[in-house]
Amino acid sequence: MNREFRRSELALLRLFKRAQLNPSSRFYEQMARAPWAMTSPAAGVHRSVSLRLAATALAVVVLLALIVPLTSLAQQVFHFFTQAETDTVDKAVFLAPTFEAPALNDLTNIEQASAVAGFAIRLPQELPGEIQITAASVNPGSVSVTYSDGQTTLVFLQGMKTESSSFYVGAGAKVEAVPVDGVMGEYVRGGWQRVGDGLVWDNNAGSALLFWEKEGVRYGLLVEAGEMARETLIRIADSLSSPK
Amino acid sequence: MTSASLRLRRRARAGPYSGEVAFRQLFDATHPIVFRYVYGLIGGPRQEVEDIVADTFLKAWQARDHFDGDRQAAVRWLLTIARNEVIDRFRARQYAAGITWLEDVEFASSDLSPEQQVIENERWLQVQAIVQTLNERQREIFALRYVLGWKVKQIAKHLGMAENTVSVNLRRILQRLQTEVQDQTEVQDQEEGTT
Repeated sequence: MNREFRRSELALLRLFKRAQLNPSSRFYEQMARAPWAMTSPAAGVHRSVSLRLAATALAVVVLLALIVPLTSLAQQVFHFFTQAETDTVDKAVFLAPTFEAPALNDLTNIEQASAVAGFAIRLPQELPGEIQITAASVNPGSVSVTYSDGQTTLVFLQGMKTESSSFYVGAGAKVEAVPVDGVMGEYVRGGWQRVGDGLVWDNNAGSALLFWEKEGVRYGLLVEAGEMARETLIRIADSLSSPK
Repeated sequence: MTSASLRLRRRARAGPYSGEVAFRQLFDATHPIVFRYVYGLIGGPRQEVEDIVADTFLKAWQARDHFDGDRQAAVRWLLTIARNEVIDRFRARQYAAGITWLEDVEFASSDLSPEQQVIENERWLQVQAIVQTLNERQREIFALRYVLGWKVKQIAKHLGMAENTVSVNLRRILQRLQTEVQDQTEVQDQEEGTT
């Protein structure tokens, strides 16, 4: 038994040792813009990329405009969404939702919750029908609030803005730029449907996503179950309380 | 408060990776480890793994003044940030039922024939598919042990678990892999036999 266990362990260690798990050039191009890489080039094998990008601010702007479409190949990258090359995914795995308890799951005291999150939490002042908070999760840097009326489930996300967060949508998804909360956001209707072992993107699926950024915080409204019109989502977003 | 006293306050609380050069060296030395760890946790796609690793280092950069420890402690700190980033993302993606893509990967080919590479890749996909159905804690133990090659003692210390608990989890994971990879191989053999 022990010998068999050891043999299996060695086989797995060999498999993962051989697997070429390395970041692509896209990653290094992105990291060349990181705050710690901007003033002088990074050491090591990626020095030449950093040097080129750090040459002048103007060169960075021009170069990035060229790099994004080249490195993303057939994928279109929006501000909040990344469009996959296809509407079908043959091999998909459904992860068990086994999340640990959040740092705080109570929004009664917004100041206390904001202190845990590290930013001023905003909540919608206007919600349609009987919809109300059913769950909240506050962690350093991110907050998730779930609303439901028993039929429609809406998840409101807010978090410290990071440069690269992106959601995958199908090739056929229509990403629309929409004015929301005083800034421009992006809206997508549709979702991934499970078909056999894979997934198919369906523009007519009930789910919808609205994302925007304001004052260093990224916001998202996700319709998880049921249906909600784009205008309703925007109205909810426009009703967010002011940061305290 | 004067700008001089602000500078002094900042210097007084600065950590070993507060400076740009020190943080850049940390990034250069550790990003391959963080990348492999995140890949082990979510199984791809590569672009998403890269995004999570980028966010991990950006968050570490923002919190660098609050970290105090040596290089090993810094690796553990980065892996903890990466793990939280993975959890946050999948929590945010519950709308999509927590989906991950499985991708083919390339293998170091010096000692493998093309045929062996195909077999290796098939085995890779089978293992990844099973790993992604493990619970969160088991996936983490798997990634630390087999993707990063950590010893049981290191894993136990990092996760704050008893070594025996880590070992028991590893045995369960391996037993499951042995059983399910074998089952899948048998099903494939049968399908190929009938076509």
